[in-house]
Amino acid sequence: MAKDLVAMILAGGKGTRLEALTKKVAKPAVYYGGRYRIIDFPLSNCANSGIDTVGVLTQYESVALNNYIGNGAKWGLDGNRSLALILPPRQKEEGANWYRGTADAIAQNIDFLDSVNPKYVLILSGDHIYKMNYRQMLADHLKNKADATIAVLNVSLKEASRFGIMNVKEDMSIYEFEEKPEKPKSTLASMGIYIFSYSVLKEALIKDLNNEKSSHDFGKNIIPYLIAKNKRVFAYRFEGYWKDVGTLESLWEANMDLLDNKQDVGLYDNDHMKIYSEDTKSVPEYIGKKGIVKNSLLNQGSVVLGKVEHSIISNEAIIEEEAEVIDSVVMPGARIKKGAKVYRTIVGENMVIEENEIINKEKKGIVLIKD
Amino acid sequence: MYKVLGYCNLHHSVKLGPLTEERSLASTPFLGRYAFIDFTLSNFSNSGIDRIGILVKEHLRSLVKHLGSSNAWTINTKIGTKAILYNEKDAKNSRYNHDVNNIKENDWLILREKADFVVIAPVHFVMAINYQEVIDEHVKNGADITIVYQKVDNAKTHFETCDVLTLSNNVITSLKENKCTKDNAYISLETYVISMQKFEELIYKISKISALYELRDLILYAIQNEKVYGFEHKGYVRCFDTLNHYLEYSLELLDFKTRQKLFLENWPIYTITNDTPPTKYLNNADVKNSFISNGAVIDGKVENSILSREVIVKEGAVIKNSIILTDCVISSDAHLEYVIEDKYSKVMRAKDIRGSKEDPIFIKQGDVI
Repeated sequence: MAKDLVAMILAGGKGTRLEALTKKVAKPAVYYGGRYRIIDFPLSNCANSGIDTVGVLTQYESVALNNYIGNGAKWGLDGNRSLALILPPRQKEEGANWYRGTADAIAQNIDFLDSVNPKYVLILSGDHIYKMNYRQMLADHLKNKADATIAVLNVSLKEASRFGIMNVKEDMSIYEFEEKPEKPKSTLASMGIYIFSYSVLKEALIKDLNNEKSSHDFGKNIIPYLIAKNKRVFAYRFEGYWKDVGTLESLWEANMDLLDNKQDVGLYDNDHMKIYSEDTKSVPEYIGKKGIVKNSLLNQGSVVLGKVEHSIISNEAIIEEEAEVIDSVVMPGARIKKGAKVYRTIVGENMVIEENEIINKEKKGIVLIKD
Repeated sequence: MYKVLGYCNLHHSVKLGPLTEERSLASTPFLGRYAFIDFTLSNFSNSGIDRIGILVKEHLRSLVKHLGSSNAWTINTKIGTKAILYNEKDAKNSRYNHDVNNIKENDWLILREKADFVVIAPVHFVMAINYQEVIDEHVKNGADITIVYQKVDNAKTHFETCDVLTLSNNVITSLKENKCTKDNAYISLETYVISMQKFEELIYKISKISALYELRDLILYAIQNEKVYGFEHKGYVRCFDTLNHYLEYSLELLDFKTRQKLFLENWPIYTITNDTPPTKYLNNADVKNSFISNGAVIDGKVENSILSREVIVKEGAVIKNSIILTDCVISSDAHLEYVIEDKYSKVMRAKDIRGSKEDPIFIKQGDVI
């Protein structure tokens, strides 16, 4: 049966700037907010947008991520008519290739897209934190009779030189794309979210696949190619919370947004855009007789016998007596032993802070504890 | 490994007063995140028993809602079985709507599973138990029936609705109601292992003696006529039999040492997911010795209490020694002590709601007070 809209989530990136956090798992599998992994956001957005066919392209350290995605049941994508398919690079008749870029990853799976036969393809990144109804973006794409629609976010002029910037006409059609411009002409930054009419995408991808000079990237190659070919390429303005957690600092900030930022991703909003995730086999969350918890998020299975302030505590994390966790993110299964003090720190999964140990006493920067 | 058919028997579930007026004990919320049936189903699952029949007497709605597709346990796969067994024929006739009739009415399950043994377990005894160990002991003894029991020293004030066993060399010689006259007793945990052939034989034999005979009568008959052995369960067990005990036993599990006896290593308790976000503690949160569930937003004081999912505690509110179920709101300056607040209710105007350990106050589902 033909599908109107299918999603392809690019989840193969390493996320080098997240240091040891992504040594063993791909960036989309990094924990966030005490109970989520980052990829829960695009997957839940798909589910909440009524998209029932999702391909997840994995490459770097993909075992944990593939296992996590499973049959898509965590996001309700395991129904009769739905499909969550993990698409790692594979050996083919023509040979075996790694994914050489975002566009190449999709190009190598044209056979899959053909088998689903969609009218429109939604390309997403697996490592962004936001809530979005992609159907609204598709409505815009249809209204504009567009060949490609790119979601954009209004950033400050200062930030603009860090992004791919879209220069648009009054009707939001894009006449120029500039990757990280020194002197930005506009502040509309690409969010790495694209809707393509499939026939246009397929043609562009096949052309790009055989271009040896191309770096096979949507931003650098495919979009400029479509603009040059006078295709109808439009910007879709997104308003709301969106975070690309590229660095330890931004991962920490994104977590702190859940405590401080009134315009955060809205986990508690009653907006029919619930973020689905794994349900851990946890015991109830327990606060001890001397426990102190203020201005924090705690997940099921966590135990706090000491003090937690302005922090995010994940499932199965244990904060022992007289221990203090301030301005920090504690990932699943980590243990802060008696009398230890932790400031502005990301404590990785299953890490142990020994008794009376003090981490980041000067409270400067962000410290990562991870082996 | 033996082929085992598990029956989760809800026919003898005890009542927790107003809390179980419209729901089965099996689906009654427990410790914020569970329902009582989770413990029995997890025991089956962890014991490697994945063919389960749930013998339902009444209140199907809340149970079916809780079980959902049952993918939280292991019983909904192609190799597993989950059958909700309901005796429609006798549903409106309380004398006839008993466990033996339900098993007979749904004997297709017995015929289909072709098991070597049945394990029958209730939900009102909360414990962590490996049924395989009971089966091994059963085989070793060459028993027809094995009854799981616990040796207790508090039978005057606890286990009031239970049966007391007498044993001689591990053979059970009698079963009687607990008269609460002696503290030391062997309490039947109403958990049975029966060899399949004997089970089928007894089910039909007992029905011929009296159509009103229930599983308990079958056991009584077997004690006189068959080889019935005991199996001592030494771990944690509580019989949730009254609203007071529900409060008392739930709060008792706040104690780490007690909790450790129920939540064992490598013995996870499975339950359904609701995909609620983590608990949010605001600036005025002051929480001590409590279980808090996901989705709750707390800005008040909570002590020795259990809060279910998505409970909202406003600034200035005080909750002590209480159990608050899903989606309740406690407004500023309300003071609750020894309160059991059922789902979706709101404390808006009442400022002082204080019960006692012996006489907790119950707030009805959905009420605004």
